Amino acid sequence: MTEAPQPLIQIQDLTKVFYTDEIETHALSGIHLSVNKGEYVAMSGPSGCGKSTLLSIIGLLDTPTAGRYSLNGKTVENLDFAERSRIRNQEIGFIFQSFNLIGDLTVYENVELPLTYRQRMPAADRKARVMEALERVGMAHRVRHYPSQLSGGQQQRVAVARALGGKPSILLADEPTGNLDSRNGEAVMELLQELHREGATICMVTHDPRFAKHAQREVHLFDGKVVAEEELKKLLQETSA
Amino acid sequence: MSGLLQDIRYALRQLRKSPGFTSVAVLTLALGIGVSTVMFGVMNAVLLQPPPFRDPDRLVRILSTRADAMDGPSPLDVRDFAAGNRSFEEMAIYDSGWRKNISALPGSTDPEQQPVGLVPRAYFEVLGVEPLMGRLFTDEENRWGNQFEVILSYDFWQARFQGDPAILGKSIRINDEPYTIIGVMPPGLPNWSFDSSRGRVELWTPFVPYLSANETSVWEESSRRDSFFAIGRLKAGVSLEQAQADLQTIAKNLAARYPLDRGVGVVLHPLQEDRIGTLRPVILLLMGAVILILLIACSNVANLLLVRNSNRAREVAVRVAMGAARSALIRQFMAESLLLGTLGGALGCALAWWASVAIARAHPAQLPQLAAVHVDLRVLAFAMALSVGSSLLFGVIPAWLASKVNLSEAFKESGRGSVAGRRKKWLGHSIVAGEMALAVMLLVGTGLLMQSLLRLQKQEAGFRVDHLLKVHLFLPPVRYSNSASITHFCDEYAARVRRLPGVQDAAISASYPPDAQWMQRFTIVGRPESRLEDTPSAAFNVTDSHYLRTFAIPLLKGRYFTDADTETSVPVVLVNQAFAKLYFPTEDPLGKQIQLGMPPAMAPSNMPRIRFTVIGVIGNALNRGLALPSGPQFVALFRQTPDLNYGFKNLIVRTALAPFELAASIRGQLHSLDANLPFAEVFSMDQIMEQQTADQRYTTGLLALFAVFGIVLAGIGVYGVVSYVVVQRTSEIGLRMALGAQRPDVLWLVIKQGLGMAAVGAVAGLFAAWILRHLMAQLVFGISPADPATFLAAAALLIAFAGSASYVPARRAAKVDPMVALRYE
Repeated sequence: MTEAPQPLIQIQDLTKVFYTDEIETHALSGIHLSVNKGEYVAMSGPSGCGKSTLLSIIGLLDTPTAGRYSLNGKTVENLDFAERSRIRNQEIGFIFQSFNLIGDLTVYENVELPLTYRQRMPAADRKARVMEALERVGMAHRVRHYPSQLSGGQQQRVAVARALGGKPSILLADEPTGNLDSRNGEAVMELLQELHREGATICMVTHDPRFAKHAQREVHLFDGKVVAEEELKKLLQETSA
Repeated sequence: MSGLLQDIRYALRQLRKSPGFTSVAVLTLALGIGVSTVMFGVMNAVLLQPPPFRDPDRLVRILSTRADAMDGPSPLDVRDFAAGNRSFEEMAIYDSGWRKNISALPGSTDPEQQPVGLVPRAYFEVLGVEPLMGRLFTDEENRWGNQFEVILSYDFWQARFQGDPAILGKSIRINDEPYTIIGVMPPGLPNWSFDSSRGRVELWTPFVPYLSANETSVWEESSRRDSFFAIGRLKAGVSLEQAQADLQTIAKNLAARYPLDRGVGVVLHPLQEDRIGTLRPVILLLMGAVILILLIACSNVANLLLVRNSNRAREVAVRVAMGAARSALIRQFMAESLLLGTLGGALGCALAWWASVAIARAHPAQLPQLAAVHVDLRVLAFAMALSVGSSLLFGVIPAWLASKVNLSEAFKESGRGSVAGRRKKWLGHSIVAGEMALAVMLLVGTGLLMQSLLRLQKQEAGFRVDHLLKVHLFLPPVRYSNSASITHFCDEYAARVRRLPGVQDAAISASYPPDAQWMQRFTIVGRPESRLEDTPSAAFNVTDSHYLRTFAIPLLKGRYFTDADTETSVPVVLVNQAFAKLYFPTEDPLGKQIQLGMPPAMAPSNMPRIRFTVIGVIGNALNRGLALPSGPQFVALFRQTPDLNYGFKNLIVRTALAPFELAASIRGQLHSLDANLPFAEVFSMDQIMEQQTADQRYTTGLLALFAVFGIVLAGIGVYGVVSYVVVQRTSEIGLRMALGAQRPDVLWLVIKQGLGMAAVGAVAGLFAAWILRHLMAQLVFGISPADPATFLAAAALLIAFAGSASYVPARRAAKVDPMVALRYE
């Protein structure tokens, strides 16, 4: 008997409107999305469709204008800054397109960074977690290096280690291969695949169909709405025409 | 704790990584903290530190009042106060440091002059100071004829006798009489407890009021008119007010018994006030100035941090994404600020230490209190508090703003412009405008003081200042025991000097402009005074017949002294214009008679009386310093005033050459007459006039230095912000140029940003300076503290400086290549 899938992310009728001067920009309109634990979801769509905005809201980096969002059973759309920080620290691991490692911190310190924001975590535990994560991505031999001393692929592996170090509920990856050549891009995708196989929940934004195919499920966005793949193709054709 | 250590480690790394930023910020803070610490050191030494005596809060100075004037009490008054009071443990009367001829010093062949304090043993007992070696004076030694003992200061003992441990019992000659060294005082006895205008007191001999030698009722009567210095130690638990009321009661009783004490009151001042003197408003002004500099420095660093933190928006965003709470972010940024503050503070302390040593070593003689300036634990604690306070001041707002990064914007690849939000930009501009306001306030203060100083220096002296040399002379009574011998020596000395080549004229005079300190009571014959307190007094001088020609003081009416005015002829006097105007407003003063001293009816019968005939009216020469107009003065001949013909005189020489070129030949003439007289206090009149404004020049110089610091720091602030704006607007500038803007258009576009901030700051600063104008009122001379010209000049100078500071980044902007600039997009 298969175990019933447990929803990790549940989003209902979510909208995000940006206000600049007198212009309203509807970045997301009525999004419904559910991601189960252990699922690997790719979000794709053309530039400006709202996929990064959606990922920011899922990652609690931004707040929705309206709609409901629950993460791991907890309603999170209206939390204050401090509570959102705590949840990000405990539940979410980020992998960015441009790695976003802090140049003045060593590899070790970059991976340790989210753990330093956890209250009362003993230094020995932190060290064990950091080394475990770095070994997992094959970067344990570079702990004293600074990001500028690493290649792009190595930097992204360190970023993945940083995301893994906190043992989050979900990994959010925003165009993780965007700044990498195809070989390194493939290597990172392979790493994500392995993590998924080990049980990680992954939500990845990509506009590259080759990498989207690595995911179990693809969510297509267009003009701030979730659309079916066929509909997306049709809309894209209409737009290009 | 580990998080904090990590923050500090990271902060250190950040500061090492940006040596340019770190250097500018640390130096800026060091300047601000350093000058504030120095000034606090001055304030600590002069205003806050208790006098270095036992229970200093119980020490008071005793002063007499008569009408609006304040003076020292007479020995008899102090004797009666001491006998009748219930508030004092002890009192002492003493005399300030008279310059006396000192000889027989080891290693010195020439006699020299030194100020000698005349004190009883009670003087040291009241202060609670015991000799390092030897003993204090006995009561017997305070009697006429027994006073030939001397106590040395520690510095004098060290410098002149190399700290000879067998010094006691040895002898030095004071005014040609041998004095036995009976004691050496401990180091650190401050000089300000004496009238410091005569120089540092290094020797003390017994105080012998002539009452001791002539204890008759007549002398007792007249002695009540003498004024000396007096201090006292209050009994424990007695307040200043209680003690004053106690002495006031005694003063009333004395007034009832002695006519000379009528209208005489008593007032007590804490001894601490002596040290402060007139320095309080000056120190507070300078303290205010350095606080302005510190605020400017903090504003500069805050602006630097704002710009720097803007460039770290992505790092902040990453930290936030990793779950950093706002408090953790602020802590991280504050760790950097505290490190900057600590480094700036440490460097500032070094600067303060160096400056304190310089101030203590090289300060105007008029401000001996500054000799005590040093960096002690209190000053260090102040510097530390200032470092932490400054860190909070310049660090909190940038840290707070940095922690409020827009995450989704910051993570965008082109998120460059997002962090320089309008609020931050507005804040940056406001901070610079604030700096400008503070700098304008400094400039206004400096401008007012400079103009005061110029006006003081341009005061009409009433005599020809150039080519005058002054030499002080003291003819010791042991060899010049009467008026005739003094007159003979003075006439001969002046005559010999007049014959020297290069000498145009020479005179011997008891006092000289611009500060005649000798005040003398007199009555005008035919105008009897009904009350003693109504007896007029005026500045007085005794001189010879060459005085007016030597000084080139004009004769307005009547005649000069001549050689025909001798000891046996009718005593004559010249009055100045102020005297004539005050005492003979509707009459011709010529031929009027003036009698020295108290009204005949009130004076003791055997008091010497001299009645002068006014023979001329002379122009007003300064006689109350530079800041006050000339007061009434009358001038007589010392040969006609035997009772007032004392041994202390001054030789004034009008030269055709540079005054000091004649010093050696004048000295030769002195020693050809008397080889044992010191050739002392040799100054040109230009130097004497400069000394009059030495403390103002010192203050103005310091304030001007602070103003330069302030305006340079404010200029750096403008430069920093405008440079940052240029970087931020590079693509906009490129676009404007692509659309046809000319280089002058771009120059103006940028410069007007700096000018705008300066204009806003200038208006705010002028308004603040106008509000605070009363603080300057007692420090300026001949100019309104709200002088519009000074205000406008300060604003114009600042705006011009801001324009110049903006010009450099503006030139850079005008050289932008549109193609390169547009690639920023």
